[in-house]
Amino acid sequence: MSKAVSWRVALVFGALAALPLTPWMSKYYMLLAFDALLFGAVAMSLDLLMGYTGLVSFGHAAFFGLGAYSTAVLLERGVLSLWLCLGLAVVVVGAYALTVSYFATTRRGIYFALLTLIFAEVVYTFFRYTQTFGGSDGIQGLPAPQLLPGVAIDTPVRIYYLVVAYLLLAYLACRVLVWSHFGRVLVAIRENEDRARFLGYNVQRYKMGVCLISAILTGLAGALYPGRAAYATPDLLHWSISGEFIIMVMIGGLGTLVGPIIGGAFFILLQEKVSSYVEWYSIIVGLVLVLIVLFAPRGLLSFRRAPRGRPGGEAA
Amino acid sequence: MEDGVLLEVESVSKSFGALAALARVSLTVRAGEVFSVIGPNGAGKSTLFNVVAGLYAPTAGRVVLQGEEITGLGPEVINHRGLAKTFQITNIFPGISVYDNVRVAAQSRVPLSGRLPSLWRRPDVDGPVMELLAAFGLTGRRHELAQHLSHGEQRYLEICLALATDPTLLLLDEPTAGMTPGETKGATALIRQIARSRGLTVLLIEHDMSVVMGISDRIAVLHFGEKIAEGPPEAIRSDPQVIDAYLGGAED
Amino acid sequence: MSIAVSARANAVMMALAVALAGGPAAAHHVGVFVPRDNEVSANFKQIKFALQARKFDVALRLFDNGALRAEMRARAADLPAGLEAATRGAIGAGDVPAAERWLMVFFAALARDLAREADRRLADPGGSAEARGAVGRKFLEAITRYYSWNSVSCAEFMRTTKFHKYYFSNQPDSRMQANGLAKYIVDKMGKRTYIFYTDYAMGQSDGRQFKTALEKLGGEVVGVARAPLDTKDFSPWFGAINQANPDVLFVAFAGTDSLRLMTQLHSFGMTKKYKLAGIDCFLLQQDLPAIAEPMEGFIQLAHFSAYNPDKSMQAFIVVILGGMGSMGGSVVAAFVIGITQSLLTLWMNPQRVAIAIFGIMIVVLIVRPRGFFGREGVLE
Repeated sequence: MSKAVSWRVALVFGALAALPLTPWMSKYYMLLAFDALLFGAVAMSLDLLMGYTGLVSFGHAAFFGLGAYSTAVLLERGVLSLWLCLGLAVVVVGAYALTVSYFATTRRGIYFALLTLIFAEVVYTFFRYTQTFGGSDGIQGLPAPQLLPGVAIDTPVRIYYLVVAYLLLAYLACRVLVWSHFGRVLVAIRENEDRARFLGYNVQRYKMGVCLISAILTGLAGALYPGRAAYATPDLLHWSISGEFIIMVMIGGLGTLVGPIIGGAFFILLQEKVSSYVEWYSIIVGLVLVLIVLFAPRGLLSFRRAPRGRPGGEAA
Repeated sequence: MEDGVLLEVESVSKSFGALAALARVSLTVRAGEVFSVIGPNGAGKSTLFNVVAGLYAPTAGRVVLQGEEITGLGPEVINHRGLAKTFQITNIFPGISVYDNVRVAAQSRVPLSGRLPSLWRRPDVDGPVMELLAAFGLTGRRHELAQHLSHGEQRYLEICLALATDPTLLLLDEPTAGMTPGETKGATALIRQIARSRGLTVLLIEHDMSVVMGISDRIAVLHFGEKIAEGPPEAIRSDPQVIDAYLGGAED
Repeated sequence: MSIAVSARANAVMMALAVALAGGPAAAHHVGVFVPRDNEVSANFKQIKFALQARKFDVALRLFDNGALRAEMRARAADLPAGLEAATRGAIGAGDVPAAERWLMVFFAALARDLAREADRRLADPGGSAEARGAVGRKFLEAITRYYSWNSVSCAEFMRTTKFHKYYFSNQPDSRMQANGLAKYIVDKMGKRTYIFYTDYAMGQSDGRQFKTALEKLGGEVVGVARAPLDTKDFSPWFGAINQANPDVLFVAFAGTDSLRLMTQLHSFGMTKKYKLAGIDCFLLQQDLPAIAEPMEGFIQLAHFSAYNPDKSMQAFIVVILGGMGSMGGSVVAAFVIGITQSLLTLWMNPQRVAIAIFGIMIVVLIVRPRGFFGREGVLE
């Protein structure tokens, strides 16, 4: 496994790690940074699907929300170990993702997107309108999870470092994946699915594989969320959240991995900034997004690097 | 494999709804030969190729490759059995480089492919890839995006992709389509040379009669989904039915 | 369909959807009664929105400069010690559950004080029925104004006031309502009614009102029972109800109690056995799907329908099932789905109906993506 972790990336993560030490990082900004990085990570895992494989998923909120509820259910019952929460999230989200991807990958293009959307709607309906997991209120008032017995993630600084660690690991995993044999096949599938079949690749299996990986990464991110918010609600499963994830990827730049992280952070920060001035912030955010899509369709990252053909090309 | 027979197409029929594209077509292709399939447009040649390569399952009949039945199996499975196909309309990976195109094709043959470690490892197929690129004169263009290649180069790339999967039987669907006469000559020579040097069997669809007559060992003629003649080039050239239907008639 | 085109189009669509749907989607109201805000409740709403949107510095700012805190200070003698500091601390730390809790304590105290005030006014025996009714209306308005916080159960409020016996028994409106509904019950639903009410405030007065009204209009009250506020399990009362075997079961419960009761009545099959009527308060529209069967004769409920997905989701469903590229297909599909949904609610839980419809959609998308009447190749 030979790849160069670019010094730029190391620098960025160093800066992120040092962020809590700067004087103006109040608790509020720490939690904001948590949100920005967490959703950036989700956008990155969606980029594996959208940018590299060419599959648009309208159901990623379901992976995120299922991860959140997995943690919430355990924390509610007094099972505080973060590792168990993550483990359950992997199992639950994995099972759901296998089911969805099995059916969704039988179709292409918009039908794939619609199938992911409808499965996610089923999950949303279940959590929102049945009382099994708290109904519309969700599961509230959760205790902090524990990294080890006695080491609780109960301060903003700790939860922040948790998400930085997660982002680093997820990023490295995605980088390796995209560089690997598997990743190259994904790009081929995006470029010409039929040809890939005729070259001997079982395309459906690859699609299911990347769906599963993207879902689990998103689910793990979701599993971290109740540590910050102390609740899990059905709002996390709504289709507009799936839409926001897609927007984050598009803002940042398809097929760049780093782009969507920036896109996610940008989106969260934009929302926060604008909404503290006006109540109808969503219109402004929407306008900004439309402008970006119209004038920088490759995403924000396209201003910094020369376009190298389709995303994910040589620049693995 | 008996008597050196590589591919047997037994009485294959294929209908799309009410349209009968193929009607009881049978062929036998022997190892090492160049077998051409000709006929007017709409005669069912591409359909035949698609059935053999596994895109469609035939409505009736069987296809047997190297003694094993491949009827109705998917294209990826058939490819692993040793059959590679090119497309009439260029079907490459446009947004990635030429090198990457061939590399991903070659990667499908490494033992790593399809196994768990392929998630984090990357096989070294540089040797076979460069060799193929060199054979087709694409070495200098290997860093270009495939969509930026000229038409002729793309047709070559098309064949490269198929060859990278190390087939025993190569199906070429109008490989010289859209080429200038000069390019066509070059392509023909190249195909013949590569087939001989690798011991490939080639099944070819072509419209250009000079190509067909020049490199084929045997020819089959399709007309309205039926095989109306089969034999060595001289026999076909003088076959009255063939002349009537195709060579003398409305030939594009 | 290239990824660039479809993804871009999708992103634009989503951006607009997020922009337009963001705000209004959260709206809900209590039945048909939406009281006007005073300064305190307006300030409370601002703080609430800020907290829900996780903008804690904004919430803190609103709290520090707002009428709510001023009110807290003014009443500090009557409030638990340190309430203002605790509330401020919770808001500043972004601890939404704690902030909710302290604010609820504050409103409970407000309601209690309002009740005392109303008590004092009504202690004067000389006032007319209209005057007393007016006091009652004002009190209801004051309480409801603070009710817009989702998770507060009506029970919490009821517990802090002893105003009930003045308001409900003397309220001309409620008597009229009782007469109207009771007439409908006796004429259209059944002569024999069992009354089941919550043993507090409006439950007691409703129970009494309706018993009187029903008997006066020629119905028979075969039994009366009451359950305390915040009962978790109503089944101990079901035996008596089943023994009495009424035609109509009349319920007067509030908030989450009502929800629990209805869910239990459904799972015990009683919503099928008896006709149901009732008076309810503070039951939110979005909780209604938890009630499994349609019910007749609910007063004070503006909207009641089986669960329907978002309007935009419904449009999706109709187009996909009806067929892309076919207008007639969409119309037919709309009818079919609408009728199917309604029919299915007769036999199934309304939430499961939605899931069943989604299940059908999944099958259609896999087996025949173009829909029933769609043209081939419209979207691949």
